[in-house]
Amino acid sequence: MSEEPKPTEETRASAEQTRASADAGTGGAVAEAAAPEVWHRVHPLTPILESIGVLVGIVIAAAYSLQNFFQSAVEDLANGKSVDLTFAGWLRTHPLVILAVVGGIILILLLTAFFSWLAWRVMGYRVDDEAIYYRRGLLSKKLRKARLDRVQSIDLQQKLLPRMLGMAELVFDVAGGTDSNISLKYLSKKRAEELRDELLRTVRTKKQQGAEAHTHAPAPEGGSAASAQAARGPAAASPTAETPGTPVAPAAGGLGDEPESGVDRSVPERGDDSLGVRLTKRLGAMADGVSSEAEGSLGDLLAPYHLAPSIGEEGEIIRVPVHRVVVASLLKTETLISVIVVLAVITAAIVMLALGIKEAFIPILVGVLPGVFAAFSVFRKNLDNANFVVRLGESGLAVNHGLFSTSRKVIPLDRIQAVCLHQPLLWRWAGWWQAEYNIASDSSDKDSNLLLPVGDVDQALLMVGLALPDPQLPEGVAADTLVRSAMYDRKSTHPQAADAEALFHGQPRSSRILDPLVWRRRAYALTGSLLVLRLGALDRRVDFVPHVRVQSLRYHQGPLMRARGLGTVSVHSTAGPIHPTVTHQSDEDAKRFFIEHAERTRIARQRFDAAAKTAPGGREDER
Amino acid sequence: MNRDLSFSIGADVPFNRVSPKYGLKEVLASLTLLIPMLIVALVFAIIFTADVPWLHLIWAAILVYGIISTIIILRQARAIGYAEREDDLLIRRGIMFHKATVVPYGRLQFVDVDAGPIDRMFGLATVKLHTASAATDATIPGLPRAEADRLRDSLAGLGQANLAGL
Repeated sequence: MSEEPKPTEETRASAEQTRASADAGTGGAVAEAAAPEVWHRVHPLTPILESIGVLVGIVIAAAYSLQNFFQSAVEDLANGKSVDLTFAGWLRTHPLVILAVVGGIILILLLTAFFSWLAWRVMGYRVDDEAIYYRRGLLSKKLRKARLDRVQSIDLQQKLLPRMLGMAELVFDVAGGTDSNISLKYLSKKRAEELRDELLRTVRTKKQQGAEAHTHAPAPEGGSAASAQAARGPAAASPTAETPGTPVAPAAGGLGDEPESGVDRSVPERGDDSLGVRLTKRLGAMADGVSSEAEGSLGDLLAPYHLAPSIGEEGEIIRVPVHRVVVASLLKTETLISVIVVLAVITAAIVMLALGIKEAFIPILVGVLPGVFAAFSVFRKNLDNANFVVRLGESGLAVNHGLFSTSRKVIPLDRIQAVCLHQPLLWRWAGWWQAEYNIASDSSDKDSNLLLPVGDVDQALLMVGLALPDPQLPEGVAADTLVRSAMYDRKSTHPQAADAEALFHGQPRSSRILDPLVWRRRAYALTGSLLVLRLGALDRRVDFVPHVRVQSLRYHQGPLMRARGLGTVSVHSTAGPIHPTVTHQSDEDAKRFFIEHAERTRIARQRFDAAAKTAPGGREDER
Repeated sequence: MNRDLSFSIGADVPFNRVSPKYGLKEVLASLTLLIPMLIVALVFAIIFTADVPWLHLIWAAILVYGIISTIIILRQARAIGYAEREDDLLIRRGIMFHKATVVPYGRLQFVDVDAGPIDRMFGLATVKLHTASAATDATIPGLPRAEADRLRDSLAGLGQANLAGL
């Protein structure tokens, strides 16, 4: 403890600053300490909240041993013996032991409090023009730095306990690799919100300046120094080849380098942009996100889907209530199977008990417990999507979700590579659908790919419509007809359903041996900008892949398929829940699709990129 | 012997074959494991021939397997073909399992050239194409070293020229 802080505030603060900059090796370079650095404290309860797990563990351990004692005591009483009090008796004769134990506990508590206090004094954050810094750690010091022009999103997260105490953490998502996030915890909720709004504003202006400096446009008045800084920013931040081998495309190594939250507005609206991106760009062009205007352009863009979306308070377009998430997650096929298994095991145990085999009863029930816990944790994870609220903002689609702990994120519309709709078997009676997406990023969280956890057909159409480009359908077929036809196959009752059905290429009859259940349902359809795949007989599924997002294609034919004259083509998308595959088409069709789709996607991509280059004000060197 | 073993994918382009040495190299690679196994099996069979005569079946089976896999490997090696088309690279392979992959130049993220120890003995190298999708499995094995380098440079140049965003 030689490093213990000095008594007076100022000297201590400055001493820590120098120490922090000395330790900067862990967190990157620190700006020179020319300007006075102001370190803000986090909430004093933070160390306790962070070590809450240990405390809970201790309490549980204590409770467990106490329970053991009571259990044996009760058993002894039930058996008519007197309770075994030899230990208590021994204690009574040695009062010093009790004193020592109590004293020890108090000492430990005091020490904990003291070290928590020390730890709290070292925790802090600082914001300057360039970056946000976060430091912590009493013995091993950590200083993390996030450059403001590289911050992708700022999420406000509230876990259960902090939430009960009115506290929140701010998570800064920084471009570049996994584990580059800074989690600033904990602040009072009000302070966290203020800080987030303030920083979001700074980040946005920084990025805009960066984009403008990038296009060599004149810097906006009021902040030439700042814009000069920002101009340095993107230059330094310009993606470098981080991969082995021969870097073909440094600029296309956009994995994680594209602006993630919000939408890159430096590229003008393009026909093959997803509708959500176009909408955001339009909203950005408006003076202020006036709700009626926004609603107008939303309805305008989604016209092919025949939807009349309404925009609620603060641009809210979708809200998934808690009860629907609960029911939906109970009706998922996985949940159902685990419930059936657990019930079966319990029934078996009871039957065995009835037959007089008592020894097996308890072990079986204990054996079931992990299964129950697993099912429960899955269920709890699903509950995390309760109160799923999608808001239309000027930076894109912002999502709030969580029941006990709330978190916020932004759906990166301009980086969505593929979308799928999914309906587990039992969701049919409710008519619910789930929507997920693939994204261009290597750090893909498992469950962060949700576009819509559960929703009715209209909500599903709305989210899918926003995530996909205008489908560019032939005259006489509306987009919603096509999607409904893909969802419900021939059962779609829509008046134009026959026309839409004509767009689908089903699997030939010879495939029915390989796909006895799904061969009738599986089909693909091509529109001007999309590949639509209809999949899944029991768990219905529809995949959408925009032509401009296709990476590569693969044709495959095994001996069995050759015997039936069939071929399969996989469409390669980025990592995520969607692996689009055109299965078991007739051999010739598959080969034709393979060659033609390669051409189709390439041309679509060229048009898409050309639109960005030729349009006035477009970034010339972009992509 | 020069018969085209590949299937037709429907694109009317001439396919390049990989080096004929590639088949030999693959055979050698598989033999490095099979031959010791064969020898061990043979030795055991001879030692215990009086007690357990069926041990001879084992080395016979290994021998048959080696011969069959050698034939298959040689045929497979000749079935690999690649074509540099105007806007994309087409790779096909497989006799039992037909596989074809098309990678547009604009989608290339980077190109790897690998050469393992046995590869180097034969002066061969493997070119692997990477896109943003992990599913893309575009590998051209068994290229002569010079051809591999030429292909890499050419692909890198074409990738740069046709560069597309994500």
